[in-house]
Amino acid sequence: MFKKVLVANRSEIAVRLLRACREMGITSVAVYSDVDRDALHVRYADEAYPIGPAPARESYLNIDRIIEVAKKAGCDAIHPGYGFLAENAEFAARCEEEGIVFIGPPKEAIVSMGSKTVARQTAQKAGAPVIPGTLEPLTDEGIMAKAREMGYPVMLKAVSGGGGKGMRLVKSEEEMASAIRMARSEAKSAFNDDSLYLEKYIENPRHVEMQILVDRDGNGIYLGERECSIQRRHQKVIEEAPSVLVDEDLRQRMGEAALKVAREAGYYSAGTVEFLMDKDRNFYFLEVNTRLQVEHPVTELVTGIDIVKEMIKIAAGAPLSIAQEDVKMKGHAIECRIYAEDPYNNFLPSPGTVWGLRLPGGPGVRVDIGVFERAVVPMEYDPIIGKLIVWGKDRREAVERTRRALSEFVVKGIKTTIPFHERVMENPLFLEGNFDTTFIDTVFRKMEEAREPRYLDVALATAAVHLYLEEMAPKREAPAARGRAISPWKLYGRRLQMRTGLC
Amino acid sequence: MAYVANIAGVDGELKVEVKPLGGDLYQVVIDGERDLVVDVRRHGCCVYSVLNQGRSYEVDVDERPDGGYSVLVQGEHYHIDLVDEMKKKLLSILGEEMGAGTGEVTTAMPGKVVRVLVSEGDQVKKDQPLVILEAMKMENEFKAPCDGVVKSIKVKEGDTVEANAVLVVLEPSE
Repeated sequence: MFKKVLVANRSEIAVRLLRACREMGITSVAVYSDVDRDALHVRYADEAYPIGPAPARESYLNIDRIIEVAKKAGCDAIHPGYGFLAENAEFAARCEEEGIVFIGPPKEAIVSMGSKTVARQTAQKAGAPVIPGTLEPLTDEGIMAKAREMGYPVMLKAVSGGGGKGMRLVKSEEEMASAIRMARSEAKSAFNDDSLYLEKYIENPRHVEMQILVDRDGNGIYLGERECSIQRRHQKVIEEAPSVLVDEDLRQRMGEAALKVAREAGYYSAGTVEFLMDKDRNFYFLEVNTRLQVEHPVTELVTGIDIVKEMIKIAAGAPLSIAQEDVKMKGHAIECRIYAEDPYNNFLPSPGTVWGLRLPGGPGVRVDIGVFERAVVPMEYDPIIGKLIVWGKDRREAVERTRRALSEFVVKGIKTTIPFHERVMENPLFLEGNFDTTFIDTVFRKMEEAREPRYLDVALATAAVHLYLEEMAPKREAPAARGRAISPWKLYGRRLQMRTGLC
Repeated sequence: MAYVANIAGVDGELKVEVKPLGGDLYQVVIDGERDLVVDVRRHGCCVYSVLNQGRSYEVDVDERPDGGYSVLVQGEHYHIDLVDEMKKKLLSILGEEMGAGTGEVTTAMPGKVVRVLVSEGDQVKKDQPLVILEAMKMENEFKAPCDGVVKSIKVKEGDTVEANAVLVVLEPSE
């Protein structure tokens, strides 16, 4: 087993990985950028070293610097987490050259699965159902001709795509020229590769993915599916396991398809094979995520398997210690991603200082978090600040418990997606399990707009009493600067500033 | 004491009267008709335990940077602007003297200026993008709120700006 592991990441996922190291008795090394000196992962690790200025490309993406730290500290392995260098084949190759183990898949699999068209070819060779479309990148004319042949609507996608970038739903030929232009430009700036391909659009698709573990000898197991259809900007916000659509038979077929794709790609480590599912429960290969996923904890809660520890053991060369028949999904788990975003303002980023934090607890509740009271959420990185993961004996208990835990979860100073999650957990369609990837943008928004507030009078009464108390005791020093009463002049100044965009 | 409240998502102003009944008890009358007696205990700067007809609520009242209150009750959030009735009168007089509307385009979020798309003196149309700001790996366009001329630009590419910073000042056209 490894003696010392460097965690090349930050925030909640860095803490998650450091926790696994501590449980396994592995000395852990954190790295941090200039704005992260006070971050939680720095405090949690056994050792911590600076790697450069705030912008990610000068710190968390700085391969030379991270390798240098790993060598100086005497690390025998590096875990990249998700994001940053997790799916960077150059980094995996550098680790290998330097004699440091990259805790993840082989670099060849990162390259082949990173190209969506090569991944589609691989899946087809493995005999997995693939969404109808092209297996090669296309020219503009090629796209036009192929789309006409397939029939609209179609999905236009970037070959190097990910995170919803360079992706367009095109409903008619009139929209195609501008869609190609925008998708190419987005793909060029995001991935430095503007090649595109086409897929048939699956109506009301649900996103269902399969977690796999494969050891270096190629022995693999599937840990069951995760349903990740609640998305905003093509990014997941709520995940659950199991999916209400998947029964044991379908699970087995999807799991075996996922393992065949992994075998064809020469994959080992933890990984996720993503599928789209139509309303008739037909599933189609979408892509392979060659990394630990944000949502891995829901699978951990229903299977009892610590995916991070298994990933580390596989990287160290250990054979898989779990047999397929020993993998059982028990109960139901739900994850809510806590983003520093304003759900009432189109999920606009909301970085800043967390000046109040109350975490939920009690039965079945797990909180993976990267912040603490007075922590600063920098604007340079991903807006995720933590995750609430809840287990219940069935879906109903899991939802009720999630709702209860969310009501205990208070983050002040920055806006978060907590109130959004609370609303979803009360949404009748979500409760029925009746939703697809368009849920937030279509039905949810409409239902929310029509909703009456429930505690308006209590809220207003308390705010009024609060102001009354402040005004009656203006000289009393409030514990925090924020509680102080404000003069009408100051208020007026603020009002002026508030008149943004008034002409 | 009488206050005037504006609540995001609720039409019109609400009048709120607070009468202390001694101890922790207050009578609150909303719009002259909804009458509540609340037992209010304050914890720390801004967490309240509120009892109303035996029902218990945990309420967070936080001052927002723009001057209003952010109120959290049982997981529901309310944005409430609350002003003393007397002060409101004073403000409205002041407001008239100072003249309303400044044509300032400001940002609600901190971020980094990726691009400035206009120059001083440019004629701009309503909804024309003026500045692109990036925060947390996401780009956001700031658009002209109305037709006008760009009077001054307060930021340049590469600048880091705080929340509520002025980006561009427009001279609205008549």
